[in-house]
Amino acid sequence: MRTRPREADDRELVRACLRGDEGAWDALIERYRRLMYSIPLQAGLSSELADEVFQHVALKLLESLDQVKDAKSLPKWIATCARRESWRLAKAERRAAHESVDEQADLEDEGLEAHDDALARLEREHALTLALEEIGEPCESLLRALYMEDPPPAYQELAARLGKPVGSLGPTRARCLKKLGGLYERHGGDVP
Amino acid sequence: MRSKKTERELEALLRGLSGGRLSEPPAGTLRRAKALGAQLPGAAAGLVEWVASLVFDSGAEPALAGVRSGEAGERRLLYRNEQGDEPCEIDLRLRRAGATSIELMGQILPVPTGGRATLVAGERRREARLGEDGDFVIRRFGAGGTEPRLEIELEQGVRIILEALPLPEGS
Repeated sequence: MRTRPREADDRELVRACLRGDEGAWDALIERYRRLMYSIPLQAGLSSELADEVFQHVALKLLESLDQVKDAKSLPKWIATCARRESWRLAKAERRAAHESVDEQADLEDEGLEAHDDALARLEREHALTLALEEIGEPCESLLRALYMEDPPPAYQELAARLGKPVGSLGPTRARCLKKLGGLYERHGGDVP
Repeated sequence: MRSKKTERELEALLRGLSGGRLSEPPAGTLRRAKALGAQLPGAAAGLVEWVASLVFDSGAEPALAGVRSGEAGERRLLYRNEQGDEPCEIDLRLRRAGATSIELMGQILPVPTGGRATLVAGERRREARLGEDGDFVIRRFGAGGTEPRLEIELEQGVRIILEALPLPEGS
């Protein structure tokens, strides 16, 4: 198996897949595994059906590599594909549970897009997770401590932990947020 | 420069991440999806890549007994691979065809059941099917002065890639 930098972008990975590089395929699946699995779960499907959606998206991606090789946003493509299949399976499930015509019509009206907001939030979280994994130190530790620890550590404690002067934390935080924003956008994230 | 508003939105998103809505798929789910990689375009044919070494180059060595040396504007190359059941030889003759093109004649021995040879230089590609004697010809190929790559795919599921074929003098 060939190796590649962890940060190889989607376009490079897709093109490598088109050359038959199975390592690139593994890397793509690894990168989007949480998004592909979490969307069906968020849509209310069971873990068995989430697995079905995951395999469906992977197969569609494999079949569409030539079309997505120039896609600006592979995350959007994957999320849309996962959403559609999740809706299709969710509808089938609900139809099976509500057999009357009226109830089916109600279902159509109700629409499965009720989950839209939650799914959009999931896509943003996924992009941010990838950005955090890629940002490197000290930014990753700093941002995780400041925004994800409950309660967040005091600046003095954090400075000691990172081995930096207290006075440098503010500018470092600003620089890290800026870098994070760039990586977030690169991974398909948008602001709500 | 990133605006304060966007910075605040990023901070809010970071705080939300601790809720952990993203789920890891089970190992089996991941494994099955990765296994689909065996169906990738290049991998689909189950092609095994062989490496062939250049064992004779008329442009670099004096003529060997029994091997005709290259004529003016022509280059003879012999590659050998020893990964198969028996050694495989690829005999190539490159010659100038006009001011900017080359012609490639080749033969693969022992004679394979079938396959194709593709000459590639940058965006230019030209393909030829292997004949009954394992031979092929690619005429008037504009290599643009670069040393082209020869890709050979044999029907028994083997791919041999010869990088940077040395060009005949004057190409």
